[in-house]
Amino acid sequence: MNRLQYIGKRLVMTALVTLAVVLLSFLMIRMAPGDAATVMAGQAGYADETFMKNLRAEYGLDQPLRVQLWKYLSAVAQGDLGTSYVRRQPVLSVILERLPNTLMLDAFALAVAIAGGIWLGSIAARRPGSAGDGAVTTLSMLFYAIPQFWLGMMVMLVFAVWLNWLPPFGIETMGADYTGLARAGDVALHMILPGLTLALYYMASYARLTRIAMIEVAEQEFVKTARAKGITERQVARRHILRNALIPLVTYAGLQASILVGGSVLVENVFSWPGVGTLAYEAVIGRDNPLLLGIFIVTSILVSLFNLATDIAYSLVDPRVELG
Amino acid sequence: MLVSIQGLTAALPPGADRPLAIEDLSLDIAHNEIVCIVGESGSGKSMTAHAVMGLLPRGVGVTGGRILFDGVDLLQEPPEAMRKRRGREIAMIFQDPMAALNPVVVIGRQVTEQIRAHRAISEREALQQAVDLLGQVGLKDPAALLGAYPHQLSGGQRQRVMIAMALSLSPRLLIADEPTTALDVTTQAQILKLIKKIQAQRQMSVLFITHDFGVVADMADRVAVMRLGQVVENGTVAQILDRPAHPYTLALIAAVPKGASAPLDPAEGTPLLEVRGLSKTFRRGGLFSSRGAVTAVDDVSLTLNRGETLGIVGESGSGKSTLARCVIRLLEPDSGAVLLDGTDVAKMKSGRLRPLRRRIQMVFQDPYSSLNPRQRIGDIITAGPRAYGEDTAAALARATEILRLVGLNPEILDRFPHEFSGGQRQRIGLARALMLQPDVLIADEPVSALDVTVQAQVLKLLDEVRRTMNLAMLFITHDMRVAAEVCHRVMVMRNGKVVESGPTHALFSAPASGYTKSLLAAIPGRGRL
Repeated sequence: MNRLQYIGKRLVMTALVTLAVVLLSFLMIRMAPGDAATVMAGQAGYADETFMKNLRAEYGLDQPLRVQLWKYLSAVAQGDLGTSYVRRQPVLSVILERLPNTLMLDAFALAVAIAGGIWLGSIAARRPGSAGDGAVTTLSMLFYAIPQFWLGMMVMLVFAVWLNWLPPFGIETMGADYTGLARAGDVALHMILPGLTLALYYMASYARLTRIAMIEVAEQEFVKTARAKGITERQVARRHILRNALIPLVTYAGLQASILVGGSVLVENVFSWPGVGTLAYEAVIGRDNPLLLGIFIVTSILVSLFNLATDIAYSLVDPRVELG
Repeated sequence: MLVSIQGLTAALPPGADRPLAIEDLSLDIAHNEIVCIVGESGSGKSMTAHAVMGLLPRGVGVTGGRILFDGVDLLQEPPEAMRKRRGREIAMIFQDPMAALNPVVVIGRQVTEQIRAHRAISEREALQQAVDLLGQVGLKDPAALLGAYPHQLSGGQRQRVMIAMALSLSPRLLIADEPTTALDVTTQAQILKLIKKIQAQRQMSVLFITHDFGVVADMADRVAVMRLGQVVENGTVAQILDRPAHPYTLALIAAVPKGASAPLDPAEGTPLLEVRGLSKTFRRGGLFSSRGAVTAVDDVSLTLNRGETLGIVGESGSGKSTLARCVIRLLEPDSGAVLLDGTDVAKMKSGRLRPLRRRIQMVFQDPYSSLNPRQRIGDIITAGPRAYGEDTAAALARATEILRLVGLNPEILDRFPHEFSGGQRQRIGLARALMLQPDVLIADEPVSALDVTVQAQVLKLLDEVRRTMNLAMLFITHDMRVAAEVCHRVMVMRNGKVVESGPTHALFSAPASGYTKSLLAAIPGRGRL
């Protein structure tokens, strides 16, 4: 099996997984009590039998479950994820409008977490049991244990409210109407606090993982060979120990990338970051089933693609691994 | 003298089995000389080598003595100066070439890394030198090897790469730490020859660490015998081999299997175990492999009588272990028959096979990983009988008896495997197998992980047990010397096929096939011990 065949096979699997996700989430959402009509009637502040009936008929909610499912599936197959009840816009365009914001935040957080985690982990691994190791380990435990939303509120309080260094929430300054580079800079400033809040938690796990992987690799025979060659300790650490310790990190980073896509709901909400997380929150509160389903589908496809990318990356960092 | 070690003492961390790793050790290595340090595991021979390299493990510290290299005391050298000597003036090769190369870096880069650590040349020039070096150590098509990863090479090729690396800066001292222990016997012979040739060409000094007196006989100019951190005897190879003075040296040499005392053939009878036309193929699919299937055992037949030991000899990949695993049905054979007392068990369903399973038992190679570290000895050795419905009290009573038979104190039932040495663990493994009162005992490399003196004891024990319990024994080994010592008949395997078989003495004195001849010729120290 060559690499292309493998990727093809995995893409077919992705389609199947997505189908399963659609089926399961469609059914589970319908099992919850109350429907969109109740919510919309509530928002309208007014409800009688006819109004509810008309609403249900308009959205097809009065039809048998089977029929609703079939209609939904055929629409999804054609790339139509339906219309958001609350926003009255096509679900797909709502999601696609928000997705870049989430991906940008996640990419920033993951990059900071990986770089920082590896750096801290290698410091700790250099002399296990030393003061530096103890500090890194304690800090990682701390950030690992602190709830993200609380950490988010605290950094907001300290850096935005007390020190006034950074903007507290949103993705850009309202009404400033920056363009070009100025706008990018503005967005970057807004990204720092939510990004760091996400990153600190994951950085803690990378630091711990890097530390333990490096300590393990350092015991291996080839590290002794490297020292016997007469290369410097720094080269031993970087080329031989770290290079091999990175292999388990790749798997872990892939897993986390998937979790981040769906998992930044709390942090996005704390910082009012207009991403898929806040959108999902709105959809849940508003019983916006088409939107919620759409988010499930898009994130599940993304997760499958991340997993595929992880496996390919894994086969690249570890030549002993063959795809198949 | 190139190297003069004087009164070297190194302390082990607190809690080790003894306070000193090396105790007042003095040893000289002259220019253009091969000095062997020989000893059993834990003797401090490897520690000595690492001390010369300045690479003692964390926690082991030199507490006294000097290591003079060309008149300079290496122990007084600052770390940076010592680093510059490593790889350039003193190079080292290690025991396990599988583990000694970085698995995720291509061969070319691993060789050039060493060259460029000490010489200011470009990667391209370094690669050119790497090709030359790989050619010099007898690797074919060296240019193609530059881009290969270690796992794509055989053990022998990897050790050649290690040697090429070590030679890259023409060191004055080469330290070889058990460089052939992990290799097959024919590969071992080639690598030993290569080291000797290169030593002579380059007029290097070599410090060669080994546990094998056969290797000593082939390689050494001078020998130091180590035990518990001390040199007990030191002299030229002729002195040590022909006129050993210290009782420990005598014991070590006496323990080397000589292959001379092949026991007599037992009485003929109907075979207890018969294997007919057994084959086993492993299918493998992978991204880059077009190999498809590997036939590990190819149409093998054998017979085994009660009270008889049949040796199955071969190098790694010969199919000897797969054959054993098929006979005991740890693997499912593809075709052929395994007749136990006339009943074919090769294709038998597991339910019907179960009562017969206890009649064939196995002793495994690695006494460290084959005993569950979380279970007490009593649980380990009575698990089999209890699984067959025997009550615990009866099983424990028999365990006491069996432990005595294998030379262990029955009071160990409450203890855990880590409290025992390798030899004791192998006795426990044997006791575990004997608890089921088998008819056939399969011993898969039962002594290859053991020190030579312990090896001799375990071989003797296996033979006694076979006699006492009238067992039929399949003895699998890569070591011709061991096979000659315990087997009535020997079967030589290669690439899954039987090359030849016959009574041990006849086969060793007049081998019919070229392959058997080459195996015999590769035995280190042949004719000398």
